[in-house]
Amino acid sequence: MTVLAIATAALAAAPSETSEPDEADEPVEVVVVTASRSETRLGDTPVAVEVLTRAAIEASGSETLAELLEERPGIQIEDTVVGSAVRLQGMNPEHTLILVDGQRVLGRKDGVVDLSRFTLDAIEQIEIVKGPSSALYGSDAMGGVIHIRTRRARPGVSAGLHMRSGTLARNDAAADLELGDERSRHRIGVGWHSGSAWDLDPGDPATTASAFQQIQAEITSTFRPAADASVDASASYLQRRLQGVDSTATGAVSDTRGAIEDARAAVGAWWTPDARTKVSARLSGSLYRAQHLSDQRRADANDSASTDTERLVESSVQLDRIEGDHALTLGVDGLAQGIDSDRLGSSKGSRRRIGVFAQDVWTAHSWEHGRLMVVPGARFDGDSQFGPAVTPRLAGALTARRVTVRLSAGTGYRAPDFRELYLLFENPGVGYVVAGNPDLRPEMSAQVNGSLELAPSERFSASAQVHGARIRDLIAIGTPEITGGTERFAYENIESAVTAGVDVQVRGRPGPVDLTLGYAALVTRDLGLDRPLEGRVPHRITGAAAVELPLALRARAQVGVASPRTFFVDADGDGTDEAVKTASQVTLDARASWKRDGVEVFAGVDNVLDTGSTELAPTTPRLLYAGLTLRTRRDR
Amino acid sequence: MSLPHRLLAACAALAVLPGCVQDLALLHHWDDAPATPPTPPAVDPDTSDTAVPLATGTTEIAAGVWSTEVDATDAVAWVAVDLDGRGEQGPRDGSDWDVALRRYDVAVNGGASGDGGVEVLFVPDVSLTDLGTPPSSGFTTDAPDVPDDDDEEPEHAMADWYAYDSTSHVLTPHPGTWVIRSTRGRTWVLAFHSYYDDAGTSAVVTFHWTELTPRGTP
Repeated sequence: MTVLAIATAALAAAPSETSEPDEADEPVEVVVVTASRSETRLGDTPVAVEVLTRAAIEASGSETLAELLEERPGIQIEDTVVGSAVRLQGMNPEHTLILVDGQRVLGRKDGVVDLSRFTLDAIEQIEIVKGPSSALYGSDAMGGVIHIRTRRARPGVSAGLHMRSGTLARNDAAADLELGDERSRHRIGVGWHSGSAWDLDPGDPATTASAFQQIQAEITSTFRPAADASVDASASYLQRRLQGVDSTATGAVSDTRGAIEDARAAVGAWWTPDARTKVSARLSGSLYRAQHLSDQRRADANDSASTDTERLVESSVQLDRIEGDHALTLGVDGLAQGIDSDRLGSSKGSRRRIGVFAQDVWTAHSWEHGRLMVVPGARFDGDSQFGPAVTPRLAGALTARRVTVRLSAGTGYRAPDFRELYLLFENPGVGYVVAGNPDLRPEMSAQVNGSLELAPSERFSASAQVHGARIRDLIAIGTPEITGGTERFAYENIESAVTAGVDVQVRGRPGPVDLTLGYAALVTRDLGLDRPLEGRVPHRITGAAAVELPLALRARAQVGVASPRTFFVDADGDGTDEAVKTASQVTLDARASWKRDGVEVFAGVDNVLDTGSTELAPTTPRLLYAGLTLRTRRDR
Repeated sequence: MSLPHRLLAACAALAVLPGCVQDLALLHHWDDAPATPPTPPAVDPDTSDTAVPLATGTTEIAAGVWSTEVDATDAVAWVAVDLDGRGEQGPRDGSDWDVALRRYDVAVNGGASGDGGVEVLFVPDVSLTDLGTPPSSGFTTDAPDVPDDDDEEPEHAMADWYAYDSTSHVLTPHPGTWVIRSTRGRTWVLAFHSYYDDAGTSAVVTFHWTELTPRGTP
């Protein structure tokens, strides 16, 4: 733990870990960075943070981030044609900022970052902040932030091997090696994952999901030249190949191939010149390249091949300082982003942005078992494309021995992406054109969030979050212009929308059983069209039960019940959308394991009931799997 | 080389790895379209001699009834069809063509689109072979562009030959038959069959046609 974290923690009169959501074997104290961009004890964060620790990740049996998040209340994971998309608090996928060790993730397609490409091999902790976070992170953090923190080596030597095999030709293998001492530590990990295509509609030749093969490697090093300084370097490479079949209503059948490459490198450092000050800096670069080809069977007219290459360089300098009752954070972010794409009208796009942010965690009052924090913060962004944006936020937190209450009101924004600005895409197979709009304005939102966390005993905790947001200048496809048989769609700032909801989670540990129950309610309204935002789940119940059995056995089951989702489709071609509802959906996963002395043997079933097989809400069919995890460690 | 230096070198190597997947389009074994049949002998446009072969893309599907497939996939170039010339297809640069196609657009050689005097009339819900005596009036031809529609194209007389499903983006011909007075004063009847070929490719238009009176050969 850093000196700053110790200092911050010292301001708290009593520890509070009520947000810790899941699973046994949690570390005694969880430290997060997402709430204030500096290490803070979970119970002392000015905004609520949901944390999935390494222990929770391993106990879940999930292999990908999408699988891990799908049963969390207030988080909706959708399988779409462009991958597994996430919605936080009913917002669109593009309204969630996804970070890996503070670095923005590239590769959004139709606003979606495919969460299934993030396998959990190299992930130490996942931190989720729901609600507006643009005051610290700038663009995209309207609905919240999902921050993936990768594994770092601990002193000593450690080696791990994980293998899993299942139906749907799912195979997963990962290995890692850690070594180091107090002055330098290094970790290298490799992974390989594959799965077959699957199809929910045998009536057409198309596959619902493509077959995939993924390889990845990552390396991280941490150097501690002195007790008050640290240098951290990391690099990773991921390659994912996809293979599927596409078909159109006209009868055209095409074989599709894809290849995605994602490379990241970063170097960061921090220094604590005294017990109250921390200075940190970070420089990172990302490169994302996506190739896609479509080969029409028995014809060439619809054949296509395209390559998109995105580049991103980010830099940041941050000062954290304790001054009396104030924990101040000041920082500057720089961003340079570019894209080469066959689908852009100009084939290239670039932007630069600089952001300045400040936050003050002011302990306005403290007493023996608690404190009252008031947290003003704001960020200014200047973007080379759309100019300035200011996003303030005011948060407050009241922590007592067993109760934490948090309130925040803030603004969020999202800069239009390159696709929305410059896209020029014609689908010759079905005859439509989608065009970007260089005159788009950023989307803006005003949001309020509140949470209540209770921990009346060590074996019982409960939390509730309420949220409300109003979004304006929402970017969407406008009314198409129909010329002959071709519809021409264009992006426009046309919509305003409101969302509101509540997420409740209760956790109890009676005896050897660990029970978690969650409920999320969501109301949305598209103010322009006067109807709900489509695809949202109005009511969702989640539950998980884990039980420790004799002979080192453990069993776990989790269930999710989602109420029907509404989509709007012009099914009869009269030019007016009709509401189409999916069926309610029940998903059930079960897993059993035996673990002793660094060896774990496990087996399980995902989607036991094999539900969700509809065109509007596709879900991976039932998956049976078994596997083995080995871990050996020698401490120095 | 020290360990930190080795690690930095490894990081640099990882950072330049993208691009290690070779160009998919070059590696892929493409499924090509079937070979184009041999080009038949040239057709004399001035003859109606049945001994002269039908033009490429045209086949006889019943006695005196022909089916013509036009590859109109090019978004810029028109493909002209000379009905009087046994379905001969070519660029829209001569004077003998009767109808021309460019994706979903269909022009006739008359009015704002040409000097051939072609006129057309649509008889809804009647099949090609069931058409009796068509109305003698009501024929139209391509009209000058209406500036308000911003398309800078003539107002095609046959523009409304299809129905468009905005959900599936599928074009379906309206049921009915077009009566066409050709450049040579003959009267042809034509029914659009499909906007798609067997492989599902759009803008490969098929229409069936015959001569109204006398029913003969093109």
